[in-house]
Amino acid sequence: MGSHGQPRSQGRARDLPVRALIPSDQAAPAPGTCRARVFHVPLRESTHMRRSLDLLYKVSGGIAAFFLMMIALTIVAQIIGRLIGVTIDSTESGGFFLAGTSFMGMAYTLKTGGHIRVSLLLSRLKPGLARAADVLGCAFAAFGCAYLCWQTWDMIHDSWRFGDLSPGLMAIPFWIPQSVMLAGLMVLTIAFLDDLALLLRGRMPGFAAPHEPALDDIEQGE
Amino acid sequence: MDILTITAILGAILLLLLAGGLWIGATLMVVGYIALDIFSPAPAGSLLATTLWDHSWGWALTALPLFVWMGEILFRARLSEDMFAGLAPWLDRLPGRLLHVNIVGCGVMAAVAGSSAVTAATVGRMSLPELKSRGYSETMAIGTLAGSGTLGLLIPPSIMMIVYGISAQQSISRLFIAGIVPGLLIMGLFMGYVMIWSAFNRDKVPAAAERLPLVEKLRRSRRLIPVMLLIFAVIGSIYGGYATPTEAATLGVFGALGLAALSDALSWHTFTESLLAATRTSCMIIAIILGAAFLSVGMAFLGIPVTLAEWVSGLGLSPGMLLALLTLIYVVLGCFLEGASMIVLTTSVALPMVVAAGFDPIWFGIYLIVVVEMAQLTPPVGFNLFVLHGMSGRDMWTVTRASLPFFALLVLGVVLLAIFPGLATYLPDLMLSR
Amino acid sequence: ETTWTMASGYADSNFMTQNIQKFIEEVEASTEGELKITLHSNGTLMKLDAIRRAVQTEQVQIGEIRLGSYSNEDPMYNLAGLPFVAGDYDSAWALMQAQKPYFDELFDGIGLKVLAYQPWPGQGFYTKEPVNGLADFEGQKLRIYSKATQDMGNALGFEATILPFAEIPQAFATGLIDALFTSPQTGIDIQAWDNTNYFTAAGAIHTKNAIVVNKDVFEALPEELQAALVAAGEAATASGWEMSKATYAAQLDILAENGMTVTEASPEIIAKLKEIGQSMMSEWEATASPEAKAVLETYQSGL
Ligand code: NA
Ligand code: NA
Repeated sequence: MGSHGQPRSQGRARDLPVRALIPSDQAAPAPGTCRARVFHVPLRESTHMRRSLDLLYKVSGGIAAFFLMMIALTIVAQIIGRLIGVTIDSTESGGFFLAGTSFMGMAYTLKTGGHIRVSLLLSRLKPGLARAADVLGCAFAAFGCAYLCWQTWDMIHDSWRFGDLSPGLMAIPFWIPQSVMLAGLMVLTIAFLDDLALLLRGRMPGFAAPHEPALDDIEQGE
Repeated sequence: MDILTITAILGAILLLLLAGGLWIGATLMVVGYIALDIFSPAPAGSLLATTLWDHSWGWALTALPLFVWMGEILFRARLSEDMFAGLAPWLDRLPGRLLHVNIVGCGVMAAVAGSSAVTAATVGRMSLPELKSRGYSETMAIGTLAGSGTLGLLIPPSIMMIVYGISAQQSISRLFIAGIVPGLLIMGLFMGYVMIWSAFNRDKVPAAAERLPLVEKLRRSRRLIPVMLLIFAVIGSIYGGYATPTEAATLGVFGALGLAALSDALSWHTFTESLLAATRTSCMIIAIILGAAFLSVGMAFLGIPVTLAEWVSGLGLSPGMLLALLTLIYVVLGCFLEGASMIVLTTSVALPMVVAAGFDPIWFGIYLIVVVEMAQLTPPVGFNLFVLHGMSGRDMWTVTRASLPFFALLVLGVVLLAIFPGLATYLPDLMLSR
Repeated sequence: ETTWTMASGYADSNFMTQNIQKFIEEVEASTEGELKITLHSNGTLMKLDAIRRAVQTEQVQIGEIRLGSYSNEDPMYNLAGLPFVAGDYDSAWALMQAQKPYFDELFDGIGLKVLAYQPWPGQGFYTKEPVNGLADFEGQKLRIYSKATQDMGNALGFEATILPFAEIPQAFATGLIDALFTSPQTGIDIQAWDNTNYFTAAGAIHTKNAIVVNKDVFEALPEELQAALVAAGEAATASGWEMSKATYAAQLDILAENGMTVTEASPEIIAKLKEIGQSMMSEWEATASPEAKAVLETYQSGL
């Protein structure tokens, strides 16, 4: 994977126009890259459903980024607190924000082609077979993710039932940050289902999107 | 069913799923799930949820997204480009030129970050596009990064040393000091290799720019100052006792934002783009970390690493043979397990064995760290391979091939450590009286 | 024949792990091999703080937990952690006896049954400079990890710095912290002599770990196995106290052998700690339920 779609001049990501945030309804990669052989050129979809889904990933990605910023802010508060002699604990809040970043960002990362696969076999298969493997993998991931949601729900229910509180100075009920994990996993399940549907209709799934690698212009035939 | 058959089945499933293109984190989770659900009585589903949760909010991981964000800001504000432009005139006569920036940059980053993924991702974000645009060999750019990224584990601070220190009850301070010389040694090996390689591959290193007079060199070096200041501030905050490594990462972020603002490169757009890009990169890495954590829970329930170590202990080998066999086993384990789990799951059996054979526990810790570094470079589960694959967009095979020489150099490092144990033990004995 | 998986959090050389191994042998012997327990020590299966949930949800059947980790949930978890509420082993034993019925009910409500308690040895101050009196604490940076240690540290004149356990060695090396308040066991675990030169023993606090079993799993056992487990647990509690006592003396020797100067805290420091204990106790009473306060009264009336 990771072939880069947009033809670029000498590698300056910052010189480029803003890449569309969610490329699942973008035009397919330029001819000659491996993806173009596999997927039909999708028509630009602009249904109500498409827009809502893309908004969902965008919002959850935005929340993830916000949590990442909060990690930094709480840690700065801890450093400043130490300098002026006030004890502020960010080890726990930092951890919770990190979990929030990780899980809320999962779907956004998937839909922008950020999650990596090895796919050595896949890239050597005939397009039809490769697509079948993609469909299978995507369906399997959607199922697994839904199962994980169910198990996470059980875990949260237990945290609530047992009244578990975090051990640090904050003492917040564990079910609160754990619910963020569930929310992120639910969006990820939707994203997998969405990609599965796109695959089945012959369109480019979000996970195959170019994700702004640090090197550009993959050599032909890698 | 015996443990070898189970291991072989699990390994085969892992390879099949990875080759078939399932996401790496998902693959590791599936294999862990099969291990628990089929081969152990433990409830796999509930363990999956709690393991993912427990590992997602650990303090040790918080530095990851912060350092990645810092790298993104420096890149987007063109500060990393400035750094390369400032360094270039000084490295003109060194064979391999700016490739050494990867190695030294990773060494410096390793003095701040405790993990190899962070080291490789942060330095790679800044250096890959620069080296590429200047016409350096991509293979060497990727290989030096993948190799030097592992220094994050050997040069203090190091999460792996903390893990070993706690599970082997060894002094973490001693381990930190013991890692310095081997870390420099491995940097030296890498730089030596780059020089030799460049001598034989002159066509793959861009021609040197015109030789500049000293005054001009110094004038151009002004562009180095901002990033150098940031590096000193981050390192100084740790070693001056003002901040923990995680806090230093935060200082790095705010410092980078400040520099970007000073050079008029900070806009709402750079800010949000850098934040979103950091989110994506850390989500990618964390998904794999979580998968690896769950797989190692599966291995722990089945007791696979302990069984292997007990088998070795029953053979009654000479110290040299013991070390050779252990290295081989760790290399094989390292293909499938993430480093921290390798250490945690084997120390209780392996340590008494090597101590009985006459090895120093601190030395063994450093040896283990280098072996774990090697594990970062071996497919199918090699973290630096994943990070570089994700960052460069090149396929796993290309990245693995590029990293191979550096894997071999790490093996050489282990051999040197075995022949000259003082490399690891001299400095801590000198600095800390027992 | 039944086989259980057990998770515990400390290294094999730790006396708590050794006591657990003794407990396991005892169970196996007294049940004539009907109940076997496989121990995964040193956090190899899961982190110490994840073990309670693992036992509650039958991921493992039995495990070791650190009661002090749950202080936020019920003040009872924290009672033993207040300075000089139970400053020696005998009063720690009496406190444990008084707490037992309360904990039995508390754990019953969350699906667990306590089989045994093990006390941590008394604590003390690890410092770089000698400690003769309170003045030597002034302005020193003490590593803290909880509300209770924060209050105590501040009251003694320290500057409290919150830090995760694993950051301690580096924080010492770089001067982020100057002092540590913990047990000799933890000091040995992190080889405190690399960073500090003086251990000033205060005793003061004997917190407890507990061996807990999943209630449903326990109740599903035949009665004679249940009885054997309970008996082995009681024996483990008794031997836990003995081992802790013996270990404390041996551990002070280890600190000294490694070049640390080990002294008893001066009367001035002990008096201050007792005073702090008193004020923390009144705060504790303000948050505790009538039932919890009754436990404290039972304990104090028996002293
Ligand atoms: Na490091
Ligand atoms: Na590997």
